[in-house]
Amino acid sequence: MAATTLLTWQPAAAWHWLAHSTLWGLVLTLAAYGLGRWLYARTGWAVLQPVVVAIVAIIAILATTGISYEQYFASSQFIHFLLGPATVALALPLHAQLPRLKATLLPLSIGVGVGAVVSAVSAIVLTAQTGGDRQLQITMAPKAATTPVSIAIAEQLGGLPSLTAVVTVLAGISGAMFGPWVLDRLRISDAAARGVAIGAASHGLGTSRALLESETAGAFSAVSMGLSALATSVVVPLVLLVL
Amino acid sequence: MVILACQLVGELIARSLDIPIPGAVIGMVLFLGVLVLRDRHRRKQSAGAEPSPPPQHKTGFTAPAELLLTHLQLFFVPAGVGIMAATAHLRTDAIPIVVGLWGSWLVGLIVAGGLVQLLRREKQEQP
Repeated sequence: MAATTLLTWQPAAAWHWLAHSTLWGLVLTLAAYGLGRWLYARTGWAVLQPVVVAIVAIIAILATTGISYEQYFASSQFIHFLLGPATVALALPLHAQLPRLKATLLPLSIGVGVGAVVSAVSAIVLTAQTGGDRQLQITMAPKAATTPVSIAIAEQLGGLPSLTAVVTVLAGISGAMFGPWVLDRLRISDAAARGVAIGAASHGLGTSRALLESETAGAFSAVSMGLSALATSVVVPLVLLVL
Repeated sequence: MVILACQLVGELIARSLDIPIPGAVIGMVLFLGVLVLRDRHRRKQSAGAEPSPPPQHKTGFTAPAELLLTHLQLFFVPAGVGIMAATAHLRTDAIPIVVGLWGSWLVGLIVAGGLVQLLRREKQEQP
C-alpha cells in the first residue's frame, strides 16, 4: 500500500519542473545539432549545414508542441552564452595566419570598407524599391554586421531590433550555405578573398563555414567579420543621412 | 579561463567607452594579443639558440578554444530559432525583406571578395 503512494505517476509535476529548468533547451539544442552534424556527414551536402538543420528541427518541435520561442531561449541560455567565448576563440586561426594578415592589410581594409558601404546602400535601396518603409530600411541596413552589433545599430537608429536579429541570422546562414558556391561561380578562388567576402557579408555564421574550407579563409573571415562590425556601425548612420 | 577573462575585459571596455563593437570582438583582439605575447616569451626563452618553434595549438588554454571553434555553429542555434518569432513580419513585408536581404548579401559578398582578389593580384604582379 505504501509503495503505491510513494510511486504515484505525476506527469504534471514533472512537466512543470521541465518547463522551468534550463535542461530541456540544452538537451534539445544539442540533440538537434547532433542530428545536423550526422546528416551533414552522411550526405556531404554543403547546403545541409548543421546549424540550419538544427534550427529547422527545433522550430518544428516548438511549433508542434506549442512552446514559445521565449521559453526555449530562456532554457538554452547556456549554449547562447558560449557564443561570446567562441567569438574570442577566433583569435586562434587569426594568430596562426598573422604574417599573411599583415601582408594583406591594405586589400583587406579596402575590401571590408567598400563592402560595408555597398551592403548598407544596397540593403536600403533594394528595400525601398520593393516597397519597404523607412523603418524597414533602417532594420535591413546593418544586417551584414555580427548580430549584437546589427541589433545595437537598429536600436539606435529607430529600426526593429528583433527583425534585424532575424535578417542578420539569415544573412549568416546564406553565407554558410551558399557563400562558397557563389564565390566558385565567380571564380573568386583566392582563399584570403573568399574569407574576407564571407566575413563581410555573413559575419560569424559564415566564418564557421570558412573555417571548414581552410585555415586561411577562416582567419580572414574572422578579421573581416570584426572589421565589418566596426565599419558597419560607422557607415550605416552616415548612409542614412544621405539616402 | 583566459578566453573568458578576455571576453570579460572586452565587455568592460565596450561598455565603459560606449563603443558599438561587441565585447566579444574586443575580447578576440585581446586574446590575439595574449597569443602574440606568449610567442615573444617563448622566443626569449629559447634566446635565438634555435629558430622559434611554430605556434602549438594543442596545449594549455588553446585546447578549449579549438573545441569552441569546432562547434562554432552550435552556438548560433538558440539565436537562429528566433526566426520563428518574426513570422508575422516576414509575411507582411516578405518581398522587401527577401529582396533587400539577399540582393544586398550577394552584392556585399561579391564586391568584398572580388575587390580583395583583384587588389592582391595587382600587388603580386608588381616587381
